[in-house]
Order: sequence, then C-alpha cells, then structure tokens
Amino acid sequence: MGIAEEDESVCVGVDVGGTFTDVVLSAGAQVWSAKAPTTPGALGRGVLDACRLVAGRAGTTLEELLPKVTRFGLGTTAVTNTIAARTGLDVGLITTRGFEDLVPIARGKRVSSDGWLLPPVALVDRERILGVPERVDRNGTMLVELDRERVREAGRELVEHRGARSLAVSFLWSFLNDANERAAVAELAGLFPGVPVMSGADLLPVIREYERTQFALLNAYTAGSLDGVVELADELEKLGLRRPPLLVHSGAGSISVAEGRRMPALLAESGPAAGVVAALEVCRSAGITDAVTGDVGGTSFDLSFISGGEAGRRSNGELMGIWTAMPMVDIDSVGAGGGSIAWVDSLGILRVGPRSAGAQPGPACYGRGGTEATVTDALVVLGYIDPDNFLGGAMVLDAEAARAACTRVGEQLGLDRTDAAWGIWEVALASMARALRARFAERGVDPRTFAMLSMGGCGALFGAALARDLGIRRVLVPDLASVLSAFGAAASQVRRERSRSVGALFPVDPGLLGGIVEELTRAVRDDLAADGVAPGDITVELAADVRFHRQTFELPIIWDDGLDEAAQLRQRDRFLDDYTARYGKGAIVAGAPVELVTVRAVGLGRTARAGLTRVTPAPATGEPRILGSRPVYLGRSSEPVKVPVYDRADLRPGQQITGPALIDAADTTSWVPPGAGARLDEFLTLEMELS
Amino acid sequence: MTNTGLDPIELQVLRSRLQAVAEEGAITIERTAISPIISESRDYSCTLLEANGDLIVAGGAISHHFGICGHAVRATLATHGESVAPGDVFFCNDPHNGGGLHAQDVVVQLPVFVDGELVAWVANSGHMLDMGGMVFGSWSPDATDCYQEALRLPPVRLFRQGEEQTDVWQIIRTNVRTPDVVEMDLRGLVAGCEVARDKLVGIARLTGREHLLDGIGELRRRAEREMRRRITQLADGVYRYTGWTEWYDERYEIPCTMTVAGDTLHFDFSGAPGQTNHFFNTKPHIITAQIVGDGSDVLTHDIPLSQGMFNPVTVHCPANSIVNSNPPAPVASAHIDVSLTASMAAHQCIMLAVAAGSSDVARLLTGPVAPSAMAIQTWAYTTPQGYPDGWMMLDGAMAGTAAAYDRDGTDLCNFIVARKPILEAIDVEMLEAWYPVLVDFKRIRPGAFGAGRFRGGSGCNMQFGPYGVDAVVGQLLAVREHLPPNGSGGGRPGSVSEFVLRSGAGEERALPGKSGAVVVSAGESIEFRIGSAGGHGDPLDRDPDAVARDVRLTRLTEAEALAVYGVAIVDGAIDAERTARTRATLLRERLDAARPPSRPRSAPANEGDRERPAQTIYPGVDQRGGTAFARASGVVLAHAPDVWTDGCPVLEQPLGGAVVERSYLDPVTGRLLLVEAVPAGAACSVVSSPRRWTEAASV
Repeated sequence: MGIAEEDESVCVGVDVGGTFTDVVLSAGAQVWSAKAPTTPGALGRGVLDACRLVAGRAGTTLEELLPKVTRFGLGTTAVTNTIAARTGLDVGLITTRGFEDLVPIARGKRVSSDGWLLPPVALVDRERILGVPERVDRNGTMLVELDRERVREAGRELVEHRGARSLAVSFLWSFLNDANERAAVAELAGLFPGVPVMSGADLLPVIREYERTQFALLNAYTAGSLDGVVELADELEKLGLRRPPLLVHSGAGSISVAEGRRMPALLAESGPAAGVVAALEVCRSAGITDAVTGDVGGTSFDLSFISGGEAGRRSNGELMGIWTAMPMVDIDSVGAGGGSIAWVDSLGILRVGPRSAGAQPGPACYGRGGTEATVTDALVVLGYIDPDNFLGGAMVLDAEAARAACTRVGEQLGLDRTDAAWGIWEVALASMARALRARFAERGVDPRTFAMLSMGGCGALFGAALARDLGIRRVLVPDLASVLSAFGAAASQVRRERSRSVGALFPVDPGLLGGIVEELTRAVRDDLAADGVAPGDITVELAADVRFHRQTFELPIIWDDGLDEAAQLRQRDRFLDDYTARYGKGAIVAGAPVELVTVRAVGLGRTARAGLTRVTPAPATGEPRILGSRPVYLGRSSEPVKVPVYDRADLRPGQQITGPALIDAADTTSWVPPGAGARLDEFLTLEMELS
Repeated sequence: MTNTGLDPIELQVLRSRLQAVAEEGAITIERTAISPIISESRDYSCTLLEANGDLIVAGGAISHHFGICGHAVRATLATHGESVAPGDVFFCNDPHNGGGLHAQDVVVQLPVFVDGELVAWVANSGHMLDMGGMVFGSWSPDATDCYQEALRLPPVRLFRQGEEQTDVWQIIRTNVRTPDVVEMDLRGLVAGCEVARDKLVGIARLTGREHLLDGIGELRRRAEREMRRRITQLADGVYRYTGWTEWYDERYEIPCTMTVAGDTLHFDFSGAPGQTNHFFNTKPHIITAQIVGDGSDVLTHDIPLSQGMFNPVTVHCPANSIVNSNPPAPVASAHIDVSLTASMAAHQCIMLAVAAGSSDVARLLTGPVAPSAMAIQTWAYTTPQGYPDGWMMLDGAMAGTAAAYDRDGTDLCNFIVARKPILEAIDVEMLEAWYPVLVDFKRIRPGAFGAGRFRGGSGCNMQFGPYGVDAVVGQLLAVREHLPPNGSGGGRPGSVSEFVLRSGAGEERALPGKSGAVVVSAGESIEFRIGSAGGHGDPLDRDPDAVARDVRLTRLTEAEALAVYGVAIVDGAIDAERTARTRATLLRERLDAARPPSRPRSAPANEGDRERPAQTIYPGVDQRGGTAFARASGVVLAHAPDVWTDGCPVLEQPLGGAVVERSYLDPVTGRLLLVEAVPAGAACSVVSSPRRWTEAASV
C-alpha cells in the first residue's frame, strides 16, 4: 500500500485492537507500519510503544516525529471493551411516569440462550429506573409540564440511595419537544455536578423511545471509558503533537476527544468502522463502487457493504447484545471464524461454530492446549496455511496437532482426515455464504454486480471461494490487509451527523421541512466547529430515509434537490425507482402513500488525512518469481496438488498469475483458485478475476 | 455414509443453502410488506416444502405457520392436481378448506419446477389486517357462523403460468376494508415466494435435481430418526392433562391424553365437546401444527422444525367436535382459545413425560405454557377522510411465561423454552404515531399471581384512550377470564386477563374479556391486564430476598408478600424470625382447612422401597419401587397403581365464576404438591401414569 501525503501531511493512524495495537505512518510516498501488544487498562502505553516502533522504522524518534504530524487518528476498543465486558457505570434512568418498565420489557424482544428465551441484557437495573410526571403528545404538544421538584427527588434517590454513578433522562416524544427533558437534565446537572447526565433527545432525537433511551443509557454506561484516551492525548501533546488526536467513530468518521467524551457510545464500533474507511479508499482507487467486505477473524466473520461508493449505514442495531439506535456503519458479525470449532450434531451431520476456540486455547495447531478441530486446523491439513510461516512467521503451528484434531472429527463421521478437513472448510464457507446471502437479500441487491474485498489476516484465504459461491467475479486483497483499520484511522474524514424524525407523508409542508433542514445544518456545522474544523473546510450534505407508510424498513436517499413540493415529489419518485429496482414492480400498489421518515444532515470536515496513491515502480519484466510450492488439496477425496507460492512483496503491477496459486505476504496469504487470474494494480491491491 | 450418496458434509452444505433460501424469502416479505403486523411484529413465515407438502425448512418467526403450510399445499394439490404448472401462484385462506390458522392468515403457495418436474413448493403465510366479514380485522366474537366472519377462498390462483389473475385480485380487493394495505402485503408474500423459488432452482442447477432431492429426503429421515430417539427417552406410559376453554359462563373441557410408546407419541382428544357456534372451533391440522411446533421446541430445540418431527406424532380429534369442526362452524379464533388450550395440555403432557424419563432436555422443564393466557384486541376507527382503518393490538399477546423448574418465568413472553421468540411489540411512540391513541401507561403487570418457589412471569398491563378521533371501536379477544393457567410442582396458578373501561369522571366498568364492538369514546380510556402462566414449587419455599426485590419493584405489596409468600417485610427489610413463624403458621393452617385424602395412605412404604432409586412421577413426587413419596418430606402418598393425588389432603378456595383453586397437600408438612384452577367439581386435571408405575403393582 502506498500511503501518500495529502497537503504535505505526515499522518499517523493507530488501531487499538484486543490483542495488538497497529500503527501506520505515512509521509510523502512512504509508509511504515508496526504492531505492539495492546496494554489492557493502560491503553496509552501500547499506543506509545507502537508509535515508537514505527518511528524507529522510519529512522526517527517519537519526539522528533510528533511535532511534524498533521493527523493523528485513533481507532480504539476502549468503549467496545466496556460494553463487551459489562464493566460500565451503574446507571440510573429517569423517564416518563407510567413507562418505567419499557426498558426491561425491551419491546418484547427475547433472546435465545441454550433453549431458554430470556430478556436481553439490561444496561440499567429496574431498581434504578424512576418515573416522573410529564407528557408530550405525538404533535410535540406539551400535555403535562415537568415537576422539577419530583426530578430532584428522583435524582437524589437514584444517586444517594440506589448507587447510580451516572444518569440518563429519556421521556416520551422528547425528540419533538425537548422542553421537559432539557429541564430535567438541567436540574440534575445542577444537583450533581460530577455525575454524567445523558439525554436521548439531546444525543439522538429520533422516534422510537426504546432505542433512543437505550442510546442514552449506553452513553451513560460508557461515560468514563475514554479516560485512558484523554490521558493519552495529554501525553501526546507533552511529547510534541501539535494537532490533537481524532477518534474514529462507528459512523466511519472522526471526532475530537472532547466530543467523544460527550457521546462515548459512538465509539463502540471504532475499529471495524476504521476498517470500512480503509476499504472505501481501496475501492475508490480500484474504481469499484459496489463491494462487500469480508474480514475473517478468530471468532467471527465481519461483513459490510459499500454501495454507490458509500459505506452502508444503519440507524439502529445490536451492539454486543444491546439493541440501540445509533448512526453507524453497517457491520454484521457472524459467528464463523478461524477459531470456529467443528462438531457433529445429533443428526450425525458435520457442523462448524458458532462455538469458537478463540485465541485461548485457540486452534489445536496453536499448541496452547486446544484439542478440538477448528477451521484453521483444517486449513493447515489441507495445505492452505503454511504451519512454518503463519502470520509472516510470527507463529509456528503444530501441524501434527491439526492433523490429529481433524482425524478425530473424521472418525465420528466415517471420513478420513483430509475429507474431514475439507468438510470443515466447506461447511464454514457454507455458513459464511448463508450469512452473506441474507445480507444481500436485506438490501435487495444482486451479488453478481458486487466485488468482494477481503480483509484481516485470514480473509484472503476465503475471499475467492465465497465470491465464487455467490457469483461475485472480482476479489480484492489490499496491501497490508491486516493493518487496514490503522490506515483507516488516518484516512477518515471528520464526519458528524444529525438527524430528526419527520414522520409525515409526501409532500411535507415545505416550511416545516425547511426549518428542520436549517436547524440540522446549523447543528452539524457547530459540531464540526467543536471538532476544530475551519468553516471553509465544511461541507454539509442532506439525506433522508423514506418508506411506504407504516413500513418498517426505510431506504436512504441522497437529497440533492430543493425542498418545495415539486422537488419533494421528484425525491419520492427516486425512492419508488430504487424500491422497484430492489423488490420488483409487483411489490408496489399504485398510489400507496410514501412517508418521509427521517431527515439527516451529514457534515464533512476536510482535514489532513492519509490516502492511497498510485505507485510507479520499475515496470514488470518477465514472469513473477515463484518462491516455492506447497501441496494443497483442491477438492474432496483427491490427491494434493503442488501449488506455486509467490511472494507478494516481489510482485509488480501488471504481472499476471493464474491459479491455483498462493500469494504470501508478511501477514496474509491469498488463495487464487484454479482458473482465476490475479495481478497487482497500481495501488498494490491484489485483484482476482474469477472465471 | 448413507445410501443416498450424500455424506455429512454435503448434507450440511445443502442445509445451509436451504436455510438461506427460506431466510431470503422471509426477509423479502418483511421488507416489502407494509402492515406493521408483518413488518414490525413479524406475524409471517416463509416455508419450503417437498412436492407432496412435507416441510423442508422454514424462515420467519411464527412456527405455528410452518406446520399448516403443508396442509395448504396438499389441499391445493387435491383441488388442482395435474393442472399445477410453472408460474402458478395459489392462494387460500379458509381453515375449512386448505387455509391457515384463521382466515386472516392467508397462505400463498408457489410450485417450484425444475426441468419440467414439480420438485418443491414455497408457501408463505402472513396475517392480513382485514379479510372482510362483519367487523374490521375479521375477528369477531359475535360471529355465529363462518359465513359472517370473512371472505373465504379455497385454493385459487393469483397467477396462472405467470399471468396475474386480475379477477381474483379484484374479488379480494372488493371484500376487504383496507385493500391497498392487503394488496401490498399479499404482493410481499408473492415476492417472497418468487425469491425463494429462484434460489431453490439455482441450487438444483448447481447440484443437480436428483442430488437436491436426495439430500432433502436424507435430511428429513435424519430429523425423524432423531425425533424418535428423543421420544424413546421419555418414560413410556399415559399422561393426561385437561384444559378448559371459557365462553362467558360456559366451560368447554379439552381433555388431552398422550401415550408414549417406544418412539411414537399419540395425542387423543376424545371427550372434547361437539362443535359450537362460538368463533373458537378448530381443526386437527391447526392443533397438530401447534403440538408439533411447540413440543419440538422442547424435545428438539436444537434442530430446526421439519417434517421429520411430524412423522412420529399422531393426533386424534373426534369428528364434528370442537377440535374437528366443519362449516358452518365459525373459526376466526381457530388457532387461539380451544386450540391453544389443547396444545398447552399436549405440551404439558410432554413435559410430564420428560420429567418422568431420562431425557436430554430434562433441564428445560416448565409448567403449562402461557399462550392461552393472551388477550389480543383489534381496534378500528374512521379516518378524517372517512375510510375505515385500524390495527391489531399485539401487546395483548404478551402474556407472562410459566416458571421453569429452576428459574422465574419471563415477563411479556409466552414461552420461556423455545427455539426462537415470536412476536415483538411496537414502541409506544410508533403506536401513537400510527393510530389515534394516547397511552396512559404500559408496564409489567403487578400482582401475586403465578406464585411459587419460582414465580411465573407477568403479562402486559396497559391503558390508552382515543386521541384526535371521537372513538375507537374494539373487539376484545381474551382467552381466559376465570380459569388461569395452572402452575407446576405446587406452584400456584397464573392470572386471567382483565379489561376495564374508565370514564373521564373516573367511573370504572369491568368488561367481559370477549366483547364485540366495545366503543371507547374521547375522554374515556381502556385498561388491559394480560394473563400469565403459573409458578413452580410451593411459594413458602421462595427465597425471601427474591420476594423482597419484587416488593421493591412494586410487583408485590408487603401485604401480598406476607399472605402469599409468608415473608414479613418491614421498611424494605426482611424480618427473618417473623417470616419463619408466618410460614410455619400458614403450613399448619392449610392442613387444618383441608379435607382428608380420598384414599388415605397410613400404610408404610412397601418393604425396601424407601431404599430403591427414585424416579419422578410428577415434579416433587417420586416413585421408589411400588411406593410414591413426596420428595421433600419423604412422606408416603400412594402405592402402585393408585393415583398419588388421592393420598393428599385437598384444600379448595373459590376463585369466582364457579372456579376453585384446588391444592393437593403433603399430608404431613402441608406443602403444596399440585395446585390447579378448575371448575368446581371437576376431576384432577393431571394424571401422570408412567408404565413403570402402573406396572409396579404387579411386582
């Protein structure tokens, strides 16, 4: 990957993952990367370690480097970990009286757990939810004015007697009229200056009280998770960093540390979102507008969509078992990864996952005590993974343990070792393909018009096989695929989004719509200013979510037209066209009313950021050099075939490889299936064409 | 390896692909339907069936739909037989002729051809907002025959060889109140069929037709083999559970007798009353779909529902009875009152046989399940433009689950053990945005019902009134008004559903749970309290801390904590000494008030029985040799083959409506062993007769 400067910039991107902290440094046309162990509980130390390493590789020191840095981007799991490990603050919730149970009821959503159906994990104990009299109706009309004394009583009860360490306020219809909610927040903030108070109407004024309240709760719950990031920012400043660091949020944009603290829940998908930013850059450079990204990790297969050159987004979703409203890049996580365990079910059929060996004990071949066969073990047995050179030699795998594990699975099924291994791989692929198909169906789009972008250490072994199953013809494997999130942290724009529910049929009163648009635009500009973006560097785009009246699923449309009635009807027709393209003409009843659900203002701030640039290496001459070969099984019950292995660092753009082939890079191996062609493009992205 | 040539790897790859097909069909329906019943509350399904109607795999949430789709396909085949052609799309909605759970749950069916041969069907079912008839929503307790209820269509074509049958669509449009909504939802079901068909044909092209059919057959055979294996883990014998369905003061006995014999289950509803002119007459295919759907949710909870689970099960519903009705019997609630009572009874028979056996799923035991405690409503109003509009209040379907043997029940949920959840409710803001109502409160219903060592969950408690219109008009469809669902193992019964109409002046009027055309005018409001299933174990054995928490959460009052649980709470703190005293007093008072056992058992245990290994007859009652013991106290209750309840003192308390709560007590300790709510004078609703018990007599 050539990371080049934009505006003469020196960019640092960091991704703090669960195990490793990755860093990418770009200056001019040069790029360096490094990894250091993540330091749980002291996030800054791992980041500084990684930065020192990369500075050293660039022939300098951290102290010399930092003053020159124009962009320091950080993707962090700090908030993610708080949610995943359930180590957030004890939250108290004040809500509309009569509706105290809505969060515990969770809209009737129940989750399966080993045969049982149970309520989802709650962020707040029912004993810390109190109601106060107040009410606003669906038109935003105040029906019952807030009794401030009752709010103070409730606050005192929660904080002084029920152990709340942070508070959330969420009232019915407060997104339409926030007077009561704002007044309650002001009372509480005055009463308890040290206690974070989060408000749904303030943070995310959208309809559906359950999701809006969950978002307020999630922010109250994770308040404090960014303390380590604040310390790191201070430390970096002391060491000479002149521009404060920017954090990548779940919407694949960046915000300042201060804004991150105001709304910490936004950072819940920071790392994966940074990966999507990088994927967007890779697609742009390759001239691709529609792609699905697939990242195969140890326990999960994460996928996201890029359509029309934009990352797929959603406005609500599940985060580690918690359903919430939140503007975020649409990343789905499927329980199928390299560590997924093979087992035989009660019908005598081979299954893989969702149980995973994780990193500890890990696959049998890790030699850390795991004995159950995993997908990684199967890939070792089948020859796709070189046990002596795993992750660029970072680890030597125990091939014998992998063989023994697959043999045991085979014995239960009456299959030999390699057939069992083949089966594990095929079944894992089938479950990933099933997840992909469902996601394509949700979007109403045809996989054959998409490319696949493989990310993560293992993704490139699966990409081509999955693509073939779905009818996808083109597969991309970016350079440095394993540190893409760090690159994304340096590449993301400052991005802020404000939305408001409208909930009216087309055409909407232009005056009303104009007021909403004006208010949102102003708010987004203020947000960007708070992130330190100069007014001249701000652009604001409008978008809307549209659906048939009372439908549950909206389609997002770009609003690049006026707000008068004629313009609105043009936008409505655009929705009808898009809908028809996805679901067919037969799905529409002529004249069915169309609803403008939400209006959204998206503010983008131009900042120094890393980007991919074209490399102009020495022209390719002759055939690519073959490093060696590995025996690889290409099908069921067949003899292994000697497959040539190429060194990716050796390849030059323009050189053509025809599969079967394996292409090893420092941290990834790409599988080129028989008949497929592969070559590097000018951005050093590996492109495969499937027949 | 199998003789079909598909091995365990190919089978799993095929299974993943078939599941993906059903999921894609289901997703298409959810994305394209516009009625919130489908798009938000997920009352729909996409089902793949073999050419003869055998269930392959299904997507969507309503597992009761899965089982009736085969019935629809078989009716279509019987009607149209040889003329079924590629491009046809069929429709039916008459439960008396191929249709689904009731007339609103239409079934759209599309035959899938590969190389000119019929290889499969896609059948999609969804709840239409209205299918015509005497009231909005087509669901009236006032209907006395099926001609009043709804437009009923036998299997007819919506498309013939790809050509839209405009006349059929026009018949439907003309007869329903919200034609645009219904047409769009119907088209969503058709779109889901087409997507699933295309994907299925794609698989056939990829793997070959024969390979596909071999694989489907092998998956069915394996699922059946496993279902049979799990049935063999149940204790052979006969299990009887009697449920009751109400119609105002009428009581309909729904007796279920389940026989476990080797690897088969047989359910017999002999003794069910004749068909009535009330809207809850039902049909064998509906009861069967519910029994197998719900029963396999426990027995094979880890395997998706398929035809293999139906094959070992037989169901007998006597002809012309309430469980096997014919026109003109009204059937708008064919899948609710009687049917849910029948399937609850069947489900509890399975639970008893699991408890008595050595089953893989013994950890998933609960008392009688909650679906028959629901109280759905449909509400209608006139739009400012003068059109009828309305909605189904699915919060009324949110009962509370039964307690399990090791944990409290789940609130606002019908099954605590199931493959996946069914309905979701909508946000209060969505309800108020879409419909002209203002909600006063929505909460978890408080009360001491479902008491037990583990208590049942609670149903939904909500109050709303018209807002912005003069009135809303409702059909109230409560199943239980006097007879709450029973608990298990000494747990007390759950709750019945209640409706209260409040005037602006604060006057209250209780409404019958089954009411047609209830008018709620501006300024008035209506409250509903949805019923729930029962507890497990004697409430006096409940952890006092758990009782105290329920008091803090205002689920219980301090008075209820004391009276029902014997837990004394003063200023939020438990008075341990007074609690112990109260509990001892309550136990003693029970024995004092009880009538003596019908067959007192003063004789000691059979020689050596006390040392024999214990096997469960009923939760809390063990068989050792030929003697039945109360597990907790070791007291002898009966000798084989007598029924153990005959050895218990019996306590009866009136519940109103000629219903009694009857408790069977441990003769020495006074602990509750079995509690039931039954019409006064009815026999005990539970008889658990594992063969090893009845045959122990001769040992």
